[in-house]
Amino acid sequence: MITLILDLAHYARSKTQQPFYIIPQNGEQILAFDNGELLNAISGWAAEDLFYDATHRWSSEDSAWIAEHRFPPLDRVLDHQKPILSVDYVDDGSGYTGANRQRIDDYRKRAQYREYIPYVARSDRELDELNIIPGVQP
Amino acid sequence: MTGSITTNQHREMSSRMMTLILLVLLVFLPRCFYTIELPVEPPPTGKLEIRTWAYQLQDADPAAIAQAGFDLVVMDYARDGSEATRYPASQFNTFGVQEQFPSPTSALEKQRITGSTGMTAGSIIHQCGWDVKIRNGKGITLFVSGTPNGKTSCMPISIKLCSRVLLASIWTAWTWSNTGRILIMVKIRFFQKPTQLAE
Repeated sequence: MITLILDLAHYARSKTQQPFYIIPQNGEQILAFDNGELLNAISGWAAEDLFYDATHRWSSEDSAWIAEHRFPPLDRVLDHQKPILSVDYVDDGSGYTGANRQRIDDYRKRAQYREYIPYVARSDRELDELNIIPGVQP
Repeated sequence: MTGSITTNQHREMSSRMMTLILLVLLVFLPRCFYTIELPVEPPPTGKLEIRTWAYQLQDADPAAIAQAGFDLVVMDYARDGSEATRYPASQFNTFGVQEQFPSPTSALEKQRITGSTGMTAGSIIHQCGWDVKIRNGKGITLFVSGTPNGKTSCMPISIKLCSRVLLASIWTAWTWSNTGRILIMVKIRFFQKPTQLAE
């Protein structure tokens, strides 16, 4: 998989003199197999479901697994001055109010605390719309 | 005898001069016949500086995306994932993008997939496959095929490793940022915990 991503990066970047960004998503544990080439080649990393399983907080067991297996490699990327794009599907579509607002704010707070860039997506996971929440995300 | 040079001294000087000339020739002549290949600098990766991002794979409206104000938007390369609805360069140009790139997977496909069992280069642009190795030396064969329903450009893959089958999906998506670049996102979704790769 590392070779695949490096191939994509090399091919795309050989076609332009402009910066060409490569952002893998999820599977960040692959960095355990990296000799540094992948970390150097990527421009950032995206990660889904770091804090919530749709509209529910992960169980304590799952949270512990994420803390042990997902945060460390993502923080390695961050340490290399490359952004982490976090997306959690926490918005149930009921509007920025009540429990939905609390959940959205909580997710964003947790992501930003880790210096990740949050995106609040709809909980149906369709990704078929730009989820604009005035005052929260453009 | 001051100021005069004896025959022996003259011969010694000539000999030293010849040696010097030979040394110079030995050093510089090969460079007339060989070119020294300097290492090629890797292309710049570019520093990604964003504060907001969004993610819309389906039903994307380029005009709406352009107006929304996100620093980076991850989107599909086509309206419904099919080649027929691929966004034309002119629409990317409305974002201020300078050029559009061919699908990297389609190019890799030509290089690597020819002759692979069960894979044919053809109608699905993302159809591709790679043989990769991981650090422990065990080969992982990765087969990627396109989704015919065209809902997204999602490509299910199976990774066979020591009789263990891990299911994962991967897709690439054209993305755009308001810094005027097209981005590619390689999405890797493991349906089993990928720590099993290390087992």
